[in-house]
Parts: sequence; C-alpha cells; structure tokens
Amino acid sequence: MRITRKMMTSRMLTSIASNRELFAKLQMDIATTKKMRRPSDDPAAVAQAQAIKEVASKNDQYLRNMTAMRDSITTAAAATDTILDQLEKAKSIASQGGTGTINAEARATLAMQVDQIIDTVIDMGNTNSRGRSLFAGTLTAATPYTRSGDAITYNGNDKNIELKIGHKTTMAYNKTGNDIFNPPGGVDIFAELVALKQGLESDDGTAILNTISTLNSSIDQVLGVSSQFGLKQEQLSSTEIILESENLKFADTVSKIEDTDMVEALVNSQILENAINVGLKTMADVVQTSLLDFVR
Amino acid sequence: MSDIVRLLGIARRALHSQQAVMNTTANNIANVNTEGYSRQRAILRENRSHQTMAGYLGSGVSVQTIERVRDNLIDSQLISERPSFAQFEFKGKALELVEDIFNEPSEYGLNQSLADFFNSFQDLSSEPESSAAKTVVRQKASVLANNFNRIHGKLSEYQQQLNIELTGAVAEVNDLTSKIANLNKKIVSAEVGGHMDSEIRDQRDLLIDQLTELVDVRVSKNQNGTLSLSVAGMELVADSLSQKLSLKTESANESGPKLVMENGNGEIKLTNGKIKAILDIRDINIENYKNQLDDFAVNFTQAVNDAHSAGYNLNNVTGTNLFEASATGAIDFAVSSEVMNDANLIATSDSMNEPGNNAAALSIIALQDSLTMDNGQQTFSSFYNSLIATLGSQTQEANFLGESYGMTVEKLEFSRQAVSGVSLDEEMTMMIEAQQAYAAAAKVITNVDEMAQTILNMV
Repeated sequence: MRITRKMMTSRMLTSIASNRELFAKLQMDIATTKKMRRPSDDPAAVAQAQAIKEVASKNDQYLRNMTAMRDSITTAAAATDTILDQLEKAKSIASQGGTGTINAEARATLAMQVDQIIDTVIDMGNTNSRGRSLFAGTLTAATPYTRSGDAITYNGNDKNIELKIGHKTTMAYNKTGNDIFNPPGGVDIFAELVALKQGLESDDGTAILNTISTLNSSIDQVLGVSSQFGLKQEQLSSTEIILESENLKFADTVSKIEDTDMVEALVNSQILENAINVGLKTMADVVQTSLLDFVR
Repeated sequence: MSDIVRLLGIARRALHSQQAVMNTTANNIANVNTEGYSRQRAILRENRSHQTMAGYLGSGVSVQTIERVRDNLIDSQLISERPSFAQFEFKGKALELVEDIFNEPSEYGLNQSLADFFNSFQDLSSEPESSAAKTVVRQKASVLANNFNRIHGKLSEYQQQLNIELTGAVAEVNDLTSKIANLNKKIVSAEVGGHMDSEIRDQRDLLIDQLTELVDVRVSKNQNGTLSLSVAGMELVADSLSQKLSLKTESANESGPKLVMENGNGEIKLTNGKIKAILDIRDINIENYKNQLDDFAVNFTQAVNDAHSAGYNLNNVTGTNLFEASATGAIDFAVSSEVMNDANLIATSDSMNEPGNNAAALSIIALQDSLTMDNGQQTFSSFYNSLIATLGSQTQEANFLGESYGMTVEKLEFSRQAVSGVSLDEEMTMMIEAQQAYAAAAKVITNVDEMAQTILNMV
C-alpha cells in the first residue's frame, strides 16, 4: 500500500483526537464524580437508577410522615397516661368515700375533688398538638369535650386519620374521644365520673361503691388505648429502621450505577495521557523525516 | 546522415517526454496539500519502430497522455456510505441536544418536580389544616407545570432551529447540483480531444463528496464524461441541467415544511444523509416526545382534577380544579387560576366540616402509584422514565451507528488517499529518475553531435 504523509498525519490526528475525547470524558467523570450524566450514557442503568431514586424519595417522604405521626402519638400517649392517673385517683376516692364511717361533709369535699378530676380529664380529652385537637376524629378544629354542669358533650366524630407509611400501607394514628371515653360496648367514663360525683354529693354509699368496679373497667379501657399507642410507636420504629436501611442500600446501588470509580478513572486518565503524549512524540518524529533529508 | 537525424529526433522526444514527467511531478508536489487533488501520472509510450534490413529499430518515446490516478470502486463505495455516516452523526448530535433539554437525570428535571409535587401533598396530608403546606403544594405544582411548559417549548424551539438548518442544507444541495451540472458541461467540451481533464474531474468529485453528506444521491456515469445524479428516483442533474429541491408547507399543523422538487409537488422520501436526519428528528423523534408529554400532561390534569374536585377545603368549597382543565397538552398545562389566587382552595377532605380529614389528599397521593398511563400499564413516573430511556437508547444507537459508519468512511478515505494521494517520497524518486533520463538524453545529443562532426570532418 502507498502511504502518503497526509495519510499518516491524518490517521495520527484521528487517533490522538479520539484519545483526547476519551480523556475529556474521564476528566468530566472525575470533576462531576458522576459517570452517568445523560440517558444515552447507559439507558438501562439510568432508568434503573431513576426507578430506585423514586422509591428512595418515597421512603424519605414516609419517614417524614412517620415523624409527624410520632409527634402526635407521643402527645396523645402522654395525655392518656394523665387520664389513667386521674382515674386511679377517682377509684381511690370512691373506695374512701364508700366506707360507712365517712360523713356527708367529708363526702362533699371528695365530690369537689372528683369535680376537679372531671375537669382535668376533659382537659386531657381536649389535648392538641400544634393547634390540632388529637381526640376529635377529623374535626381537629373543634374542642372535643365541653361541659355545662354535669352534662359533658363530645363534639368530635369517630373518624380515623391515616397517613401513608409504605407503598401500599397506611396507618391510622389517632384515637377518637369515643375510642377512649365511650367506646361501643364499653364504659362511658364521663358518665361514671359524674355518677361518682353525684353519689358523693347525695351521700349515697351504695351508689359510690357501685362505681368502683366500673372505674376498674374504665382503667382497663384507657390502658387498652394506651397500649395501642405503644404498639403504634413500636410499629413506627421498626418501619423506620426498615426504610432507613432500605435507603442505605438504594443509595449504595445508585452510587454504583452513577458514580465515578475514582481510582479506576484516575488510572485510566494517566494511561490516556501517556498514550496522547506518545502519539504526539511519534507524530513529531515521523512527520519530520522524508526522502528530502537524504537526497542532495 | 538520415540515421543521425533520427537519433537526434529520438533524443529530442526523450527530452520532451522527461520534461512532461517532470512537469507532472512538479504539479503533484505543488498540490500535495490541495483538498480533492488526485495525483497525476504522465503515461509514456514507446514510439513505433522502424523496419530495417537488420530488423526493427526503436524510435524513442512520447507522452501518450496525462491522467489522474483514481479508484472508481472506492469512489462509488464512498458515495453509498457517506450519507449513512452523515445521517447518524447528525442524529446523534441532535438527540444529545434533546437530552440536554430534558435534563435528566438531575435534581431539576421533570422527574424530580413530579416527585416533589406528590411529596408536598404527603406533607399536606399530615397537616391538612396548614395554609403553609398548601402554599408549598401550589408552588410545587407550578414548578411541575413550568417544567412541562419549558421542555415542550424548548422542543418546539429546536424544531424551528432544525427548519433553519434544513433551509440551509437544501440551498447547499441546489448550489452543489448547479455547480456539478456546470462542470458536466465543461467536461464535455474540455475532453473532446479524448484526453482526461483531471482538474475539472477533481473539482466535480469534491462537490460529489460534499453532496453525499446532505442527501443519498445516486450517481451514474455517462459515456461522454458527464455524471447524472438523482435522489429518491427524482433526477437532480442530467448533463448540464440541474433540478432544484424545494421546501413546501402544506398545513399549519405540521412541524415544518416538506421536501419537494421545485417543479413538482410529491414529497421526496430520502433514505439517508443529513437532510433525512433533520427531517426524522423534527418529524418523528421530537414530535413523538412532544406527543407523549402532551398525553402525560392531559392525563395528569384530568386525574388530579378528578380527585381534587371531589374534595372539600376548610371552608367547604368543593369542585375546585387544581390544574387548568382546559389544558390541551404540555405547553398550556398550568395550575388553575383559582388556586393561583388562593392556595387555601386546595382541598384535602372528603367530607364537609372536617378540617382534619385528609382523605382527598390521600386519593391524590394514590395517583403516584396508580397505573394511569399507557392503557393502565404504567404510572406517571414510569411512563416518563420510559420516555427518557427511549430517548437515551435512540441517542446511543445513533451515536454508535455514526461512529461505525464514520470508521467505514474513514477507511475508504484512507484507501482513496493510498491510491490518489501525493507521496512526496515517490515524487522525489520520480524527479530523480526524470532528471537522470533527461541528462542521459542530453548526453545522447552531445554524442550525436560529435558523430555528426566526425562525419563532416571526413568530407
């Protein structure tokens, strides 16, 4: 084959140019720390990374949702603890006031204490977190319990509020006022407290003693709700751990797909740099010689 | 004495011939860097011998013709390969620009704004009473809308740029074909004597090279030295006449004008070349991406509005559209003017008078995972991701084909250079040979002169 000068220079220039192109890409990989910068770099891998990132972003959102729920559950659980204390107190007042030796005056004093307890329990029922009533169902703007004399009214509804905590999972994080104070088939706690108060006021020993057993069941009733809050908190914690470890794995996978392997990139860029230099040197040497140098 | 005269004649013709060789060499050296130049060669021929009693006496040398060295097979391969190279090279570059428009994967692409929109609704669902959360939803919705508008707008803009490029390329084709027709005419008159006019042929071949980047032209050679050119069955050049290509807009709806013959109406369907690439990108690729975005925007508007308008806001207002229901595609996809005016119109509840109820918000969030697109086979984001994956593989394929055709073209050009390129080393040796032959012929004249002197002195 005839090889002309032009053929040599153009072929060398082409190969040096293509090395330079690879070199420039590697430099970009190193500078941006990403080897996938556009879909055409590897369409399948980019699509995979996008899908994983989408799931990870949803997981992050579920974690945010759970933080919001945890706030509300913690506040609600603290309120139920206070309600339990108050009910225990009412129960001891009932046993104290039920004994035959106590006189009407002392019972009237106890009645005032029970009245206090009713107010405190109503307060707890009206617990709110950042302006939202926690025990009013979806009527979060309402004051769930209002009292006039011995009539106590529930102003909430029986709806649960749910948030997403997974792809197909939602979690109801609230308990309504009726769940705690007057569930179907359960004890109407306020009615019971009012009965105790009225028993004490009317100096009616039997009526007072009658409330003890129902107060016991109402304590169980509130304990039941309280333990449900505990269970929910546990569920939140375990889901959080799962989502967080899932996201760690996702981040790792995405990084493997998208990120530049620095060591490899640096070594390759060194190799390419050498190749370019050798190419330039060879070209300089080859292009300079011709028959002209030897003929005179 | 006639023998002496014949000897002088041989030497004189040798001097002439070697001068012609030297001239050719000098011309080759002069044009070593000229684009499109084919090296030339002086073809020497032995002259007719004289019959004598002693047999045939040679009568020297003369120049038969000066011809250019060219391999027709390589030329015709280049004519068929170069349009493919030009097509895919252009497509690769154009699709990379489209990739830049979509700007994926990134923190600012449509994908991210879609996820942000749904996430903002999730935040709202955990606090449906919050005005702040609603303002965030409105902001994320309008970022999403802006992204749709931007991408669609940029794609249309790029189609316009392609139209400008198309006009330029068509003008270039017309310019080249009229030049080639003109050279056809010159060649016929220049080659009447039977000798090849290398210079005009080189010029014409260079124009053919340029033309094959633009269109997949069919070239056929005629007996008289002219070339006939045609594209897609339409004659572009015949003898000294050329026909012009033209662009024609038929209806306002299409993405740009069609390619036609200036004197005809039928659309010309190219199969290769840069012009084919421009038309494909404009009419097939970009049009397809735009349609998919429109499909996405319209379905999204409808699905979100259906879920949203069923809900109630804190003031029991229902039936509000979150996005402008009149949207016909990605370009006019927008947050509804009511919500733009008052973010508190964003509905979260499925019942009246329940501020803490987030059921309507949850039903919008559920759209993120619903198979709403592609006849119930894809979610919004998987639909968009497969559009991006399609774009990615189309770009990758075009780049790959561009590179592989590029290598073929490069190899062919290398082979062409090997045949037609000027090698200075070769020219130097030719020069030395010619010079020595010239000197030897001159020596013959000196000696013949001495012989003539000898004879004259004898008298």
